[in-house]
Amino acid sequence: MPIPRDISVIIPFYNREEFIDDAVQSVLAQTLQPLEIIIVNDCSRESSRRYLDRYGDVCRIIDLPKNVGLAGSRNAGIREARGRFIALLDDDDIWLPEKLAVQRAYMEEHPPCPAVTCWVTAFFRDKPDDLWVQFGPDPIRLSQALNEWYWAVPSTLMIRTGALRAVGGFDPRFRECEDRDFMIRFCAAGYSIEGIPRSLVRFRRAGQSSLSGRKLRMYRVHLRIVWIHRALFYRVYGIRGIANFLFATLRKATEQSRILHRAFGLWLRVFPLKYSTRSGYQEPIASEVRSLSLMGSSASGVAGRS
Amino acid sequence: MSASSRDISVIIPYYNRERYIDETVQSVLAQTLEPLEIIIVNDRSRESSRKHIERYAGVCKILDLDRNVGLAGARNAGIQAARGQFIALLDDDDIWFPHKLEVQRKYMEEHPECGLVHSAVTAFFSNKPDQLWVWCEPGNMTLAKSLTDKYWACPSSMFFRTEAARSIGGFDSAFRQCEDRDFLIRVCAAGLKVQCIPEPLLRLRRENHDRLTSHKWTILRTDLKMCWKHRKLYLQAYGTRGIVNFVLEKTRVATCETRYLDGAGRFLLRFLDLKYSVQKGYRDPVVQETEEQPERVLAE
Repeated sequence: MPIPRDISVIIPFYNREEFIDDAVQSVLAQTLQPLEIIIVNDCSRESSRRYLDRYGDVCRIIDLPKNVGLAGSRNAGIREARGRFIALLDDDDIWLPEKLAVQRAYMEEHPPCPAVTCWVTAFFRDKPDDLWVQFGPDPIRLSQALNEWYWAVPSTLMIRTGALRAVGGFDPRFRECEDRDFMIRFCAAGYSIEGIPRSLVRFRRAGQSSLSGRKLRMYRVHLRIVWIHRALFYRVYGIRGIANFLFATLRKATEQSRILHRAFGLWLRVFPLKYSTRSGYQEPIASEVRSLSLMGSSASGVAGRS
Repeated sequence: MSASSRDISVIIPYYNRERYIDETVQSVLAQTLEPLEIIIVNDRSRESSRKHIERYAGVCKILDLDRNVGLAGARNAGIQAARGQFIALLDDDDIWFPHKLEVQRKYMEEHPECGLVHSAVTAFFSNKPDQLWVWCEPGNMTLAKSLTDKYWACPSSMFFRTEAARSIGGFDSAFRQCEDRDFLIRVCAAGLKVQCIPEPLLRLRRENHDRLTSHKWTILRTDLKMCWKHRKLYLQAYGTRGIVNFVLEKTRVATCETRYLDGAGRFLLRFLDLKYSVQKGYRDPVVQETEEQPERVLAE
């Protein structure tokens, strides 16, 4: 049976006209064509916006009235999407030609699977490609989402539209790390992210303002994530989980300064981070979570008239 | 689905909400399955608001009421005027996802016995991500469920057969609030099958929301009124305890903004551990036809 065209591709765009060609071309070159390509223009410069015009007939372009960041522009796309599946792509990443076909076939074979990710290869300007994200066969559940080792790159995700809307998309309050926050909320709602052990996405690390300048700011965002989800961290890993997560991200934040980084490395060699779930912890299941939250929010409004 | 099956009437009651109506109507126009007609029922809005919807005169049918009758009455006027075989309700501040009509229409096609289908709902706010607001428990909505406070069908997600709605007489315009629960109870009591689609199909506006707080006592009074109206059903299904439970829960909702009362109510309810247990021998009503038909065959 031929697979119907039911994938919406969402590309948030912000002043990246030097990379967007590669991204859109990689979608157009897919062996399985999507239903629609939505480019969300997050209030880019006038010149960048004009650059997008060439894609006017193959893509739907949504112009946002003000700059809302990556999370907000993805949400705008999610709202308008018509397909049963949503595939995210950032404006500087590149899909391999069979990405959609492989993931869609996987979804077909695993009907309850809400989201699927894959491995990522990073490419640089002056050195060979490098396998960047890699994981075992187990799906990502809540306990992994709270763990610094696991990361689902947004550009790899293909998610069922219903599930994505049910968790409310991305949190627009985060300008960075919205993907980590999303992963946690998605898994806390009882969904899991399954992985295809194959590299299907190329992640740009060339000619980009590197993260170095923003290391400490990123760390602040991590602190916020821990604070917002403190109850989950506590439930899954106890106090130690919070400390571990903070420590791991702190280590990343200090990567630039050599001495600090060495010191942390030494410290971790002596006291390795261990994530062990608390005894009696069970991964959330979709329906269970809903009946739980029913108790919480029925007071605030389910019963109230709209 | 073929283009010939355009048989859905969308009904949008409108009352002074020119701030939001654009997004609402746009979300209907962007549907993947085009409706037969869009009826905007202008419930005697201000002159300026009325002028604002003039721009939709080309694509929508605008029905002007000569006096303000409230949401229920406005929806009834729309139900009377509808020409489609199905009716989809939409409030003037909510937003449908693009495939809402398509999903529900397909569901009705596959389940001809189903009278009303609603769906899960997400709510959106001004400063946080959307939240799942109404969700579906497995199984269909029964009368027993509709009488409790835990289950609710958002009117903007309701999609039903026109003759079914007309046969039970539409909404009760005596209710200015809570007309949706009253409607749901009467639909279930008439034995129509109510189903829910677990995928969220619309976004409920919760930004700048102050209505619940300012009207909570009015809402509570309406709830009491509704409880009184359906007291027989409550007694049948749950006995006296059902009524008490419902009233207690509603009181708790009304007090949830007041800090100490909220805490006290929460504590009290936990202490009382309200349980809705159906009375012995109670059975949910079913449409009679299915039972009558075999008899008729026998008689012939």
